[in-house]
Amino acid sequence: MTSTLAGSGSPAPARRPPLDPNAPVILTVEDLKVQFPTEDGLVNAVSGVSYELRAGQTLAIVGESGSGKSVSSMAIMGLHDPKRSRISGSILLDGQELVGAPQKTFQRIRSTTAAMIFQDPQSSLHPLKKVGPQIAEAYLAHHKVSKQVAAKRAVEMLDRVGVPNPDRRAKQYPFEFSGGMRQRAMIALGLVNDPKLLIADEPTTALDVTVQAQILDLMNDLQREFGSAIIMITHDLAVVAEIADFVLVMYAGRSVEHGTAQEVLANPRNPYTWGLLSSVPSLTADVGTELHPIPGNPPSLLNLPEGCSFRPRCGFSDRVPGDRCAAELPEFRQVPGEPGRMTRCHLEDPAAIFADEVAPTLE
Amino acid sequence: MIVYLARRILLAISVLLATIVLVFGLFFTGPAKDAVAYQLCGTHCTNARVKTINQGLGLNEPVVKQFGDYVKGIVVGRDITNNGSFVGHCDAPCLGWSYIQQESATTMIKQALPVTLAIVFGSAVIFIPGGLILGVLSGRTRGSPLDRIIVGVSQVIGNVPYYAVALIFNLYLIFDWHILPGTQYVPLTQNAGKWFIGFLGIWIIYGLFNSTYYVRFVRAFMINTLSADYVRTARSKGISERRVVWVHALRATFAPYLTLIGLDIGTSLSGAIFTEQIFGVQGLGLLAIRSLGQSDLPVISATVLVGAAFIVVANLIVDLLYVVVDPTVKLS
Repeated sequence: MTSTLAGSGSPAPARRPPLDPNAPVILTVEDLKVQFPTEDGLVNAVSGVSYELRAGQTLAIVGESGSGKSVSSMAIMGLHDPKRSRISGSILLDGQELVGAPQKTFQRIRSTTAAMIFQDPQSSLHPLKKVGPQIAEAYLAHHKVSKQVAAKRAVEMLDRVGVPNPDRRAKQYPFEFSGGMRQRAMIALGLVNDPKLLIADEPTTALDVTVQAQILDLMNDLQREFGSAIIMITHDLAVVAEIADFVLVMYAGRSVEHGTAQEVLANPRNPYTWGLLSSVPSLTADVGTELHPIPGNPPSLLNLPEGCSFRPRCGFSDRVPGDRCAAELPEFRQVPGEPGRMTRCHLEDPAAIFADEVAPTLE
Repeated sequence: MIVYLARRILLAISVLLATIVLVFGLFFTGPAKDAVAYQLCGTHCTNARVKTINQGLGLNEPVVKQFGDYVKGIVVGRDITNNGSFVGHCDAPCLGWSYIQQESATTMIKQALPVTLAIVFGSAVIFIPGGLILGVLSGRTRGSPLDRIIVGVSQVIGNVPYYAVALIFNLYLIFDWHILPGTQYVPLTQNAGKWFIGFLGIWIIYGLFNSTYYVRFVRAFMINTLSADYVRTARSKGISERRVVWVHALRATFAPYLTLIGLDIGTSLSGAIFTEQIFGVQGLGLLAIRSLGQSDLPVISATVLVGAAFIVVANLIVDLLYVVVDPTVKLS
């Protein structure tokens, strides 16, 4: 996976069905901001994210730790404590505005319209409750059925996500499951109410590499069957190549690049994305080939720098005339001449710079 | 499960046996072994007189024989003799004979035990749910006025020494203001109503005071648990917040809470000295203190043994309940 990605520059996303451009829009996020007031000041965890997602599509949200990928997605589920967070902008999920919505609304849409799978299946399942009832509980919360019916549904779901002996497994505790099986159970929990949107927050990070591939395949299969839209939060570009139709790159709480997975991985238009690609090891490169990590650290979310947040670490800000990068925050705008491609950068011709200077170093 | 049960019970029994050996060794072979003789011979006691008394009571016999008699007394009871003449019979389980009271220590403990049991278990009815409910309320509304009140009150009460709190409580709520009925011990078998009323004040103050400690424990635990990943998962299912807190988060609190409560109860059963003294009821605590004052060695050793037994049994019960509460505990 990794080799196709950074090695050749033509990482055709594998086994993805063709996109239906007329599929209904499930989710529209516009200028989403999430802030957490703390004793040290206001933490700007998300300071402007916009994207759109249609049924059956998979969007990968990529970025370093602290780039706001999880925080922005948890806002969709209403999982931020309203007393400890400030959320503004707009989240339109299946026609319903969620920013400022009451907890009752979130209770209704959770698991039915939007469901979430978390990073560490070990800690995300209740350690003292049996797996079957944990899944059945989500079904019971939204369906007027008996416990037996819900329990049966849980077993069906375990079967569907490839847990062997689902009858017996449903009566076991999470500690009796392996890591991969636990994540399958989490996916069963996520899909039990057939949600229109499934948010997966680094679902493979805590897993073995071989199990990772199985889980990604499973998610691809299930998406075809259930037709859900998926948001895949990840920092692993190999995962992006495997599963995503679209990619949203985030940096310091803002969206910095958006496009189809193929385009963003093959012809990125933002210096931060170039940095991400350069820091991925390649299996086809010679032994001893140096990696190029992005120098420096992400900015403090307590006080973001003036202008472009990436400027202090960017090797290309001197190509922009004047001191625009330091003075002016770039708009998230369409790349000139490339419809459907969005970037947040002042560079006039990023395509040329990438082709001439960056792409050769990725070989 | 049965193997586990058998092993745990065997372990508990062996700990008890070891305790018997230790108590015997401590009180009847160490420097304290002449205490009974000194007690009986009064002032102007000579070494020769002590020796004579010890001889009469059989306390100069070889340690092994004395220990044999001691254990025999616990198992089947024994006759107490002085210079060959019969003093009294000490029924099994004979934990010792008080030459001062002319009575078996077991009888004395049997009289005091119902008081201690009533104090501890009656107040447990208050502090077990009290600590849990207030702790959860406080933890889930962290930073709210409710939380501040609960934490503030429990800090203030909990940080004043218990005897002061109990004394003030007794003075005002019972004596001066007559808000609560006076405390006294009436045996349950004699008059259940009077028994209840007699203990009511004790239960409330002992229960509330103990709750202050458990409230803070449960609160801290809840705050931790409420930020756990599996609580977030529960919330993302679309169930009510009440269910998230009182079913998912609370479930995780049971095991540690149970351990804490179980061991505390085991310890408390060896006597609540301040409570008994202040509220004028005679339980194991006062029995132990009075025996200490009289250097009544056989009774002191008996209260130590009984206290140890309670802790061993409480441990055993906690371990067994743990299997029910926490499925991740391995039964081996």
